[in-house]
Amino acid sequence: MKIANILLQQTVEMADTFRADGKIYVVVAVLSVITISLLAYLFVLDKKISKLEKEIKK
Amino acid sequence: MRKNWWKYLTSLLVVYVVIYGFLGIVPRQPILNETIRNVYFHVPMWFGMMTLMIASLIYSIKYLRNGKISDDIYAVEFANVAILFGILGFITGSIWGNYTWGDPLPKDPKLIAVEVGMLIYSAYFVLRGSFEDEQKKARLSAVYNIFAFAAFMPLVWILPRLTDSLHPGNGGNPAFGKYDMDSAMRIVFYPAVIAWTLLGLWIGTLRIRVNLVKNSILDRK
Repeated sequence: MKIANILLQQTVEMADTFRADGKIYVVVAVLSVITISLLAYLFVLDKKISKLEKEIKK
Repeated sequence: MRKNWWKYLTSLLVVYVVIYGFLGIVPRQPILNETIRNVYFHVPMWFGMMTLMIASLIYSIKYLRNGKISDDIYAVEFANVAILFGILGFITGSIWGNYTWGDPLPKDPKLIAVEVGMLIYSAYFVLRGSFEDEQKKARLSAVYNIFAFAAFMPLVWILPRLTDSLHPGNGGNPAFGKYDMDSAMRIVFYPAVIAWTLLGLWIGTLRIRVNLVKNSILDRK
């Protein structure tokens, strides 16, 4: 009964990708969020400075 | 938009490196294990630092040739970001070394050379802080910057190779290119070097632009 239960659990399809390989994908997801946010932040800064430069040129 | 294409390239490469740095296949090596992935993050910090230092040097020479204060701003801000990258490389290196060499700060010639080199560069900022007159400050620090560069490069690149060092490529240790890095790592490592270097240049240009704006406001007053 118990063994059958375990077998059944293993065959049921679940969204396992993010739990595979020692959950490394979770780390990749976290780092991607941080990196992309920091890059976006840099872009915003870049734009703000561009605006300042334009104002000074006037 | 057209002028900013390299910023999009930088972003793309950095994100690629962060994702493939973890998901890519790396060689299985004793002691190093998965930490070999640090090659994608620790080593590019030093490449970035060197590139920024070269940029800083070029602008220092330019300043000495034409005396334009904007060239001095370029030189100092590139040096600033170079030091930031150097500190990051140093910290990440000592974390890595703690778990692979068994000591965060072993008495390694390359580490000592970098410590001395960083001190030389920090004197550049101390020197800048000690002048009131803008032109005098710019001129003397430009001369010192050339000296600092000329002292730093042989310290870090040549001296450790003459003795024993734990670092690859030094004192008989094979360099990364020889054995450690296979083609699977190269396709992440080379983009990583470009990505982090460009990121450093980008941050540097932001700092430069802020200072140029600041200067032109001061000039108006």
